[in-house]
Parts: sequence; structure tokens; C-alpha cells
Amino acid sequence: MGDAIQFRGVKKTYRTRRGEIPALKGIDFSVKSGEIFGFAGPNGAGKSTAIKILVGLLMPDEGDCSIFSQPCGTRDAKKMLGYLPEVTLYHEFMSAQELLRVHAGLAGFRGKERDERCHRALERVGLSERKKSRLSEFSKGMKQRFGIAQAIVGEPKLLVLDELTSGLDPQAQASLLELLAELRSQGLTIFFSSHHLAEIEKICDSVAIVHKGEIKAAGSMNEVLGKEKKLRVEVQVHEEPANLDQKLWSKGKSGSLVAYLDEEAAGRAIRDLEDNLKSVVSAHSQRRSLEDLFLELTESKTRAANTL
Amino acid sequence: MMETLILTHLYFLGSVRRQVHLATLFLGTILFMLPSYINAFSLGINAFERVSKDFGLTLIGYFGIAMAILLASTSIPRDLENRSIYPVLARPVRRYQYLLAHYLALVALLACSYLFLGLCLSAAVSALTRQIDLTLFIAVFTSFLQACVVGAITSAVSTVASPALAGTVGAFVFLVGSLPGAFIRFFLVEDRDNQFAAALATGLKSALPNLAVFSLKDPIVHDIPFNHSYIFALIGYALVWVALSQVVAGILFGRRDL
Repeated sequence: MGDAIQFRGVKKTYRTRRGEIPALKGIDFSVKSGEIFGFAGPNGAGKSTAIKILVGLLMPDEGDCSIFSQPCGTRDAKKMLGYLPEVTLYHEFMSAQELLRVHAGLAGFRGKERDERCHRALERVGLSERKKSRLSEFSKGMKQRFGIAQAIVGEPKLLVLDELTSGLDPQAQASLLELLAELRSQGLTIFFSSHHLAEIEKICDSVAIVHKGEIKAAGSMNEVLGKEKKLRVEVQVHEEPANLDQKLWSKGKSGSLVAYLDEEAAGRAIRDLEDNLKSVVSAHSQRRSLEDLFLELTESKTRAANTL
Repeated sequence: MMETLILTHLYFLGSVRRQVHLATLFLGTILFMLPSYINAFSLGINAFERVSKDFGLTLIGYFGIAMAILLASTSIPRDLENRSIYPVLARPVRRYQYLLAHYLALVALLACSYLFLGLCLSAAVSALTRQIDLTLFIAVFTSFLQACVVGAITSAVSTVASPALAGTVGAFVFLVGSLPGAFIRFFLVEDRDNQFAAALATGLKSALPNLAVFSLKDPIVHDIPFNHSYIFALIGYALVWVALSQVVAGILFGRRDL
């Protein structure tokens, strides 16, 4: 499979009155065609900047970015793209069908073909029965579904979704994730940015973690998280030892320390903590979670839920 | 071109939803009732007609300018604020097409309002004089051209400034542009011994469009003959300013990080 997206040395700095703010410091990653790619990072990490460069709303200062080998921001690249931004207020006085016709028209479809595409898009997201309802009558979950319909109405090869499930109830989240899996099975490449790491781990084939404008990890889930299960040890300490092996231990929730180790190494590592050890919270065999990796890479000192 | 028309239709519907047409209806009613207010002054039929026309055209002119500034200064910033611009510009649509669509929607809305107000004023004056005076529409049309120029400049500024700043610039352009050159010279160049103020005033007056040329109210109200080819010259002058504003807006907005 070829690359659907390529970022090569992309840099972007915002120039404000307070000075220069580097948003991306030369990021490299690629997304294979036909996969769901998760893009994770804390607030201010540079996720939105990268997405805006991808869809042509921002120009990078340096580096190259392409969609199916077409430079980002060009008409050819945009023709292959469907985009759902985070928190968009649509023209709510219009019906779903009316606004979808506008987007299908902008994608270059006319007449009967345009109506057929609109009908198909609404059917795919399960809104065909509400096509004549005004968008102001839609729930947040329905608006997100409409957002996906708007993004896929041009029958793109790549779908870029920014914080799709943010602020939705678990049922709506689950139903949208099912929809994404369905769209992937139809051959679409999906670039999916989310704060919900469990969500990314669940549905994505590949992932990139961005922090402070740099890619901290990127690759397939197996490459990033490791295939094998290890012993996940979580301990509480009175005080962090000065000689703590930073490569071994990372900070977990509530200030605990977490490590993924072999059984033998686990005993040795716990013993090394000596007098600082307060309690062993848990020790069980599991594959490293994306959340643990994320906390490890972003050196978060707060609970993941607060950070994200 | 098709993309521009699709977006123009969308933004026209959006502007209509902003209920400015209610203000237009309100002013239309005032214009329609105008003769009955002026009747109270008992000025005689001749002055009565002139005062009605003068007052009506003045009201239409100021209302149109206010509407042009209000809509032009807020349309694009609103799109940016509620992010509805993002899915549009992620489509194969060029930024200048987006700007042009917003401007054409503004022009369409202004055209509808001016036409309606012109009809109201004409009906009111016709009820008084028992004859239809089509020359009124010439004055309404040139007033519309003036609003289009002010709207274009305000819209261009709004691509890089807040609605408040864009609106202020629009109002400033209208004020300076409407003042006769003689007025500026008298107060700032001859009457004051301030070289800087004089240079600034003269520079501004030269750099901004001369909006005073669009006022055909006096010749229409007082039946002063004028060359009708002047209207074509005015259309050309307005088109030059609108095109210039769109080009500047395109350059500014084309480079802007969204």
C-alpha cells in the first residue's frame, strides 16, 4: 500500500506580538493508504496546526506535506480530501440535505449526480430519514454524523477528523467509532485526531504521538506499543528517589510510578526503590497501553484525564 | 465560477437570516408614510414633493451605508469565529472565490434592499404628485453604487481585522470620502497652519475613493439637468474600487493563517 499522507520536516512558527511560538519543529510521519491513523497529543502539542497544514488552511514555514503525492493545499490534494473540523457551527437554518448539496456542489458534482451523492452520504451516516430536518434541530451526535456526511459527500480517498467524539456521550461515541470502522472497510483512509487514547488504541491501525511540536512516537500500534505482554508494575512511593532509573519508570496516575518489565527485572526494580517504596498498587501481565506510553513520552505529572 | 455562485447563494441566505431585512421593511414603512409627516409642515405642493424626495433619498443613502458596513465588517469574521469557513476552504475552492462570494452576497442583499426602498419612496412620491418619477431610481442606484464601494473596502479590511476595526475603517472611509475636497482644503489646508495635518488630510482624500461623486440627490430633487453618461462613468469608477479592494483582500487573505 502507498502512502496516503506524508509529512517531511514540516515546521511552523506562529509570529505574535509576544514573540515567536514554534508550533511544529520539523515533524515527519506517514500514513498508509486504507488505514485508520490516530493522532494524539496534549493541548498545545501542535495537533491542530498539523491538521490545518494537511487540509491547506495553513502553509508550513519549511518542509513538505502531501496527500496521495499531491502537495497539501493544492486543488488536486483537496479533491481527495474530506475534512471535519473540531466544533464547527454549520449554517443551522438549512436542512441537512440543503447544506450537503452545497458541499457536494463545491466538490464539483452537479444535477442528479449531486443529489445521488447527498442521498448516499446521508444513508451511510444513518441520517437519510432526517434529511429535511434543519440542522438546528439535530443533537450534537447527529451534527457530528452530519459532519461526516459533509466530509464524505465528495467521495474522498482521505477523511480527516479532528476530535470527532469530543463532548459526546458514550453511546454516540461508540456509534461513531463503528461508523469509522465501516468507512475503513469501504477503502477510506482515516486520519483521526482525538484526546481519547483508549479510543485511538481501539480503532486505529497506526498512531503518532505529538508533544511540544515534535513527534515522540509513530508507527503501527504493534511497533509503538510492542507486541508482547509484560508485567505492568505500578507502585506508590513516599518520595521519588534521586537515583530513579528514568528509562525504566514513568509517572502514572496519582503520582505513582509505572514500569513494564520481565518478572525477574520487576523484583530487582522494586527492591531498588528501597525505603521510598510506599506500596505496590498493582502488578499484572498486559501489553503497554497507549495511555501509559503517552504519559511516559509527554512526562505528564497530572492524571491523564486532567492532562488530556 | 460555479463554486463562487454556490457560495454566494449560501451566504446570501445566511445574510437574509440575520434579519436586516426587518430593518429594511421598517425603513420602507417610514418612507411610504413620509408624505404624511411632511404634510404637517404645510410647505405647499412643490416644496412638499422636493422635501419628500430629499429626505427619503438621504434616509436611503445612510441606511444603505450602515447596512453595507455592518454586513461587510461581520460576515467573514463570523465565519472564522464559528469555523464554518474550514470545511469550505478544505474543498477545492480558492480563497479569492470565497471572498468574492461573500462580496457578491452582500451586493445582492444591498440590491434587494435598495430596490425595495426605492419602490417605497417612489410610491409615496407618486401618491403625492400623481405621476411616476423614474429619475428617483437613478439617485437610489448611485447611492447603491456608493454602498457597494464602501462595502468592498470594509470587507477587504475585515479579512485581517476585527469586526469593530473593519466597521470603524468603513465608517471613516465613508466620512472622508463623502466630504467635498473643498471642505478638506478649507478646514485643514488653508485655515490651519499645520503642514502635517494638511498633508495627511490631502493624502487621505486622494488615497480614498471620492464618494461625493455618487450623490445625484441634488440634481434629481431640484430637476437640475445632468449628462446621463455620467452614470456609466460612476459604474466604471465603482467597479475599479471594488476590483482593487477584492485584489487587496485576496492578497491579504491568501497569505493569512487560518
